[in-house]
Amino acid sequence: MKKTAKNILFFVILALLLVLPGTMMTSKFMERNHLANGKNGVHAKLACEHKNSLDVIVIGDSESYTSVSPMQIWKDYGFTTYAAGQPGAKLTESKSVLRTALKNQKPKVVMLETNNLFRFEAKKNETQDFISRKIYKSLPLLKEHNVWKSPFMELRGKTFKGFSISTKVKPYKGGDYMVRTSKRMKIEQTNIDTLHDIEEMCRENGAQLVLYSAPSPKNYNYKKHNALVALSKKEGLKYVDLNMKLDELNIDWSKDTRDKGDHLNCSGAEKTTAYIGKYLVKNFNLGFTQDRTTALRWDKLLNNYDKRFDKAKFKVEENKNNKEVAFLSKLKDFYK
Amino acid sequence: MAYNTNTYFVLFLPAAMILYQLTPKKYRFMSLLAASIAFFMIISRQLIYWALITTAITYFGGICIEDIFGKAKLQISDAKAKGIEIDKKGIKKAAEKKASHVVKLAIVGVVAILAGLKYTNFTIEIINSVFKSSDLHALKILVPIGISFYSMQAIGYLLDVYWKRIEAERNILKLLLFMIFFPTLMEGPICRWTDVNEQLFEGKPITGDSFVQGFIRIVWGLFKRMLIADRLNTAVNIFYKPTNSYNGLMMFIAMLATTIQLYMEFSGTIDIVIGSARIFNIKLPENFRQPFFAKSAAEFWRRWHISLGTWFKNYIFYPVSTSHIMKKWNKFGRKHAGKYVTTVVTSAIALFPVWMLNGLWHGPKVPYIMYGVYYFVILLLEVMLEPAGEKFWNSLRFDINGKFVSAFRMVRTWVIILVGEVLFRAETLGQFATMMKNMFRGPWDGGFFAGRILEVGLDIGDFAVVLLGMFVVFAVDVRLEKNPEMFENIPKLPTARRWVIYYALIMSIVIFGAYGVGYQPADLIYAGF
Repeated sequence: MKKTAKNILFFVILALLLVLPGTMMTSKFMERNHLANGKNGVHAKLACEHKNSLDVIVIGDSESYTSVSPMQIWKDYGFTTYAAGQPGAKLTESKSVLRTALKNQKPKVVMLETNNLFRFEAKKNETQDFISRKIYKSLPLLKEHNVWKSPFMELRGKTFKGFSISTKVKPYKGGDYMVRTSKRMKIEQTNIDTLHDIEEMCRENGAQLVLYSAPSPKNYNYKKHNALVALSKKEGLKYVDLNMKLDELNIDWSKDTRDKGDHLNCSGAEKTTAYIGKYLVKNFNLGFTQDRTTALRWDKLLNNYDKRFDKAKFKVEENKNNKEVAFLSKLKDFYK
Repeated sequence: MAYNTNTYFVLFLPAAMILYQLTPKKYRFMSLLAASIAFFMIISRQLIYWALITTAITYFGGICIEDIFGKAKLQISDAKAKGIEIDKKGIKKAAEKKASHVVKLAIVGVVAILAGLKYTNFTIEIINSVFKSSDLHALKILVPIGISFYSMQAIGYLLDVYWKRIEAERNILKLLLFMIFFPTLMEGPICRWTDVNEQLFEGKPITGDSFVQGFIRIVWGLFKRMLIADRLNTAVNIFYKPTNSYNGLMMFIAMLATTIQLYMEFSGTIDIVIGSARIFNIKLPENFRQPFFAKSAAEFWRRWHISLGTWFKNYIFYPVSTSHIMKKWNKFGRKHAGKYVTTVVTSAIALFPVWMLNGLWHGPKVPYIMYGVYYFVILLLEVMLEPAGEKFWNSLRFDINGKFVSAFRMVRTWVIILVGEVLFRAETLGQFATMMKNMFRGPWDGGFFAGRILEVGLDIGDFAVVLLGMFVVFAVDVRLEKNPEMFENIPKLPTARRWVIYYALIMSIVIFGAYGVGYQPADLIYAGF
């Protein structure tokens, strides 16, 4: 009898340890305490955005949130955008982010950065997935278990509606990477199926889906361009390949990339954002937000953004001329 | 459904436990068999027929061998009872010959299935590369799960029956369970019949003790896998990406990460396997015994993948080194070439098939075969240099068993292991050679201090967890070295201490485990062999 009681007590304590911290981990709590970081953080951050306050949502992997600065679009055109990409996101993960966003938002446009259409994703085991979802739902601690990383992530600095200002410069020296060819890269059927789900979600919520490719010599080539042109035609979607507009954008690979052509830094992002903002205004019914409270909040954030961005641009020039960066300053830069 | 998936822990294992417990004692082995068949079929579907064929060959082979010996024995005892003079030696010899034909035939059958399924395409590849004019096409062959493991068990069983170490099993269902018992199916340990036969069929109920013993072992395995192996998996995959190149210190870190990841993945999975079986009151043999405390490559292989090493020792090394021809050579060698030369030659002849087969067993890949060759050369060198080494240390007046020499030998063994694991993990020999060369290419830090270490998919937090996790594993390994029964003794600790251990392990996995968004659990590496 005593042994049984002891066993029950053991499991009760274990259940409390697993359940109690989870009850506190609401999106608001996570966002307020700067715990919404890492790949999962975007879900909590989106959930904390004011209801129906976003006009455009950008999804994808790291190529997305390094190529669109929502604050710059706000400053130039007055509509609200959120860069809801995740590092190394697979297309199903982007779909899940969109699902979170659409719970609270009614965006007019959803932009999908296309890099993760080429990311291989093994077919998911449905039973496994179902169990995971159930576990995560009943035990939020497990879903948000990476919050312990927040002190490390927090050091990386503030993000502005998903966009973080990177001042790193590591030039790309590989030359022209969009060499014309008639060949076409294969897009896996599992990814096409997921794209169909995303299209369906957008349709149901009255949003228009646009595909776009951010400039990235490491991730794009003409074969991919051909595949994406064909796919967008087949699906009846608008597609913008910024890799084909490098001259128009005035991309300078000696200073606009933070990692040898994988991602853009803030200098590169400023150029792509300017183009995307113009493109959105031209093609969709997007204009100044009428909601005064939203405008006030965004203006306040813009103030902060502008100050940082001006400093950042100066830093980019400085870094461009600094070939050798010592470990400590590099590390500092990584986390700033 | 691998052992580290939620399907296994949430659905499969509890279902198997309930089925087992509800079955009457006499038939409990049948419920284990049903669970094992289900496990096999979930992963390999209808390919189970290959396991059934191998089991049938093993079953009939074993019975046939035993019957041959039985008949000969009966013939002799009948003649003795009737007082008839017969040629006992002749009858025994004839039976021996007949049984040897049967055992060879059965082993050929088992090996033919294994080789046919696993090595046909590799052979085609070699033929195509040797004969440039040949244009053989690779075949689409599906390999059933665990074939390398259950085939080894089948061969061991047949030889044990032939050598009269065990009696042949008369119930084919029991033999089938021995072959495909679900915890051992994917990564071993490769069991001998005598290791498990009584426990598998005894039908002992699951008790509170067996559950706790099994549970703690499973949690420990998950700790190793989820905190360290799954986390390092991201970095190791990046290190070995053909388009990436690392040098100097970064390459050394790649080497360390490869070895640690493999150890944590394999030994962690084996902990889950042993724990799963322990829940059913079945104690499987250990497969690891603190391998990084080994002072030589030979000792390392007595501590790493023990069941594979033991299998090769029992069924290849001993039969070769005690064969008629080797005995003759030993006699001749000692007389004409001296003890040293005889020992070296004997070792070379006995070790060569062991390590060639060891390499091949891991799979149809050139680096695996070279991995076997690598250890053959290293072990032979150890045999050859042992007397010189002793002389060397004695001349310096160092105690050969003292701390300094032991530490030196341990570090030397680590170097051997590290190089070996890179060879094991490399996709091609070319990649291995490049990686080794790059380690000595400048700049010496390979960009480590310029932040390249943070470009392998892990951040500082991840590295901190890996280091802390390794420290815990090291501390536990030190304890296990002194007290191998440590895990069995945990439930006997005072309640408070015991609960702290349980909660600490569970919560560290829950919080610091590399799972969920952004992590890709490491595949069960040995399940692919």
